[in-house]
Amino acid sequence: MINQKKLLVSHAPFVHYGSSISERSYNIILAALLAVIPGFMRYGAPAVGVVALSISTAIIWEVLMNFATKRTISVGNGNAAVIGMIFAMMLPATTPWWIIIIGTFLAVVVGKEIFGGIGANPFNPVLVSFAMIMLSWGDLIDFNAALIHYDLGFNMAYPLIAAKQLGTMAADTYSIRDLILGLQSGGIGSTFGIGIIVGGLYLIIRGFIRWEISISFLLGIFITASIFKYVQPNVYACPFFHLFTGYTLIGAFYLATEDSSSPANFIPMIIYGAGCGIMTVLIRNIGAYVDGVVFAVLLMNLINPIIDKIRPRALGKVK
Amino acid sequence: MKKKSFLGLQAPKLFYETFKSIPPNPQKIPIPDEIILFHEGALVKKDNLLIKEGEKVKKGQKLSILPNDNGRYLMPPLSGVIKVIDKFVGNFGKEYISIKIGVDKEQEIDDQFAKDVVQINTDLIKNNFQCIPGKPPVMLLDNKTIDRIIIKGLDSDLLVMTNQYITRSYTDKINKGIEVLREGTGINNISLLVFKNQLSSEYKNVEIRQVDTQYPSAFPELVMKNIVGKEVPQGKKLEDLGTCVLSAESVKAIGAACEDKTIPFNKIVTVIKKDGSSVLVEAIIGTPIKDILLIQNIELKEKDRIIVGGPMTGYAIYTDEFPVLPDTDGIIIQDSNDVSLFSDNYCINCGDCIRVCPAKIQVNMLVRFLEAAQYVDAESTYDLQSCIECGLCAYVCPSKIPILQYIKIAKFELARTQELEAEND
Ligand code: SF4
Ligand code: SF4
Repeated sequence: MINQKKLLVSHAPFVHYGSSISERSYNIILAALLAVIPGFMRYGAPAVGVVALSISTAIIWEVLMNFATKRTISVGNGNAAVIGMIFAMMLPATTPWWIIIIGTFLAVVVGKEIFGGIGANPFNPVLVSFAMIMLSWGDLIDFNAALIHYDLGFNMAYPLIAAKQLGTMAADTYSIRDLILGLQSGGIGSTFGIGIIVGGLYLIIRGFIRWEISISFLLGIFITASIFKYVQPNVYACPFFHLFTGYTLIGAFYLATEDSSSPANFIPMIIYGAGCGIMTVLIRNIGAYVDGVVFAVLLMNLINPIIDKIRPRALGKVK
Repeated sequence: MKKKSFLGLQAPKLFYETFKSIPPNPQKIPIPDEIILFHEGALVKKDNLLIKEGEKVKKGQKLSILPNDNGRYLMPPLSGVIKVIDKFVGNFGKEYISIKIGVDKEQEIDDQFAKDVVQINTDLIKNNFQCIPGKPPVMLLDNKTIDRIIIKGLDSDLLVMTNQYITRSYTDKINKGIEVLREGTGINNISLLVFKNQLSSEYKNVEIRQVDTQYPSAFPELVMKNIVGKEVPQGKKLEDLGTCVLSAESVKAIGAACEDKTIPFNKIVTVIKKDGSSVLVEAIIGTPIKDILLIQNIELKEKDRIIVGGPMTGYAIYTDEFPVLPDTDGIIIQDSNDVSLFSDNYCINCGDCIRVCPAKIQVNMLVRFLEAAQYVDAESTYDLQSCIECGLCAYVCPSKIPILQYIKIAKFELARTQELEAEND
């Protein structure tokens, strides 16, 4: 067998659908732009700076970890960029640069890489980082304080704080239409509701995130908030207020749907999504924090492995 | 093959190729000067073999190769002289004895079969049909526990059309083959499997069962579940449920042999060219694949891939001298530009594999155990043995993890451990 051509030998299957991790990542970033660009327009250059710094440092941290752990450079798959993007979407435009750098460090290194990298993180890396930042430097990312020098022509009080401190009266001053259009203070990419929803629907239709999680999340919020409202209409805000304020939408489409920390089976996805929604309203209405999304999703991340054990019987499995 | 569509809400579906009208007759490949035959078993020393280099063999002669071979034999499809005996190692270290035969100009046919064929019984089937096209598992038919025969008038893998074609074109021979099987084995429960909305009226003496055209519904385990209504328990085979699966080609060959009083050795193969088009060819078993490529004007470049079988379950070979085997239904020539590669990415837990898996396996969890070589846990906790090896999970995985390869290695290792344990007991 001299002069033989060298043929390629590998294992079946010999065809591939053509999906890839980077495709998923870049589509998520693309969809997120629908919410981020309006944020740029509203808050100007500082917002652009926050997003750029967040994405770039997230990537740099991952490269550094790749070197430190002697693994192949993995930033090409875009996952670090996604983390940087979503992290920035939750921040006020005035966030100090060092918080962003620490934040992306916590997200990429502590939230993801030390667990083994993409797919191995038990918690959503962005939320791990965000929770720590909230607990350590909460004042600096407090929207009322952070955005105090902005006057954008609408009520600059952070709706959830207003509702928490002043109750229904304050909540009722926000019109649902304004909230959806993003006429509310908040994170760079978390206020323009229509943009987040359109981006989220795009990701669902393309199959990059699961509708089961997003929809049950929103339903969980809506139903729980409705119950509160029904029981004590003078104290609690209406369900629509909860749907379009704070991190609800970004939570439903970008945070809870993170692959590694969310379930993959149908029923578990529904339970998980609904759980995130229910917990969010519980924390908002009776908990200490104004926005429950961060801790609600982290909590459901924690029990995700147990929920995901609910699965169909495999072929030929004897009960 | 289906490439990623814009919409991804649903799990991707692949469909079998079905044809409305019968394709043109297969192109005949001329008889080669040399053929290569494979016999399962390890070649320890050539002296131990019951055949020798230089020996003359006749077409259709029953040759014992190894002593104590459990009734297995080899039947040369052409007469000639044994030139080289060598060993060949296949997938997962499976060993074969490869026998190269220089083909005679004038063919000499062994007359034993012509004498035997007057009486149709299990022995006739067992002693003559082990090496015919389609490679029927004749030893199973001898087994008294088998009470159902399923004839596959279709191919399990995508793009391959060999058995579908044969079912459409050789009705008489297949009907004869069914008769022989009934008479020879005494098994009456015989059904013929075809795709939905495909033929049937020509087959009167057999029950027609129709399967869906969505891959992998033609896999025996799924046929058992969806058509017969019995689930093959994890780790068990179809024969454990009393079912034997034969390809339409082997039934056709059995019918033809008994009708013509001579065993046929010509094999119909679907050749899938680089551009994805397919043609049928007819070649004698043992013909090197390069002969087929030559006649079909298929040029092979460095780093191209030759796949024996279908795109989802076949195996790649490293040389075009590899022969057409009795069960080679498809040959795919894949251009180096179309080769999809696996990667060493980790599972991102996207769950796409779960949504396509016909066996409802938690592939995302399974791969975690497999990557860590924890095969026992993979088997007990995550249903490794339920896998029917359709390859869909690896087809959709955005991480491009070689999932099917992991699964096969795991099954292989577990089987090997079991064997060792049995030996030590
Ligand atoms: S190969 Fe993959 S998709 Fe097919 S049965 Fe096995 S685990 Fe499921
Ligand atoms: S398709 Fe691949 S990456 Fe996605 S869950 Fe399955 S094994 Fe993991």
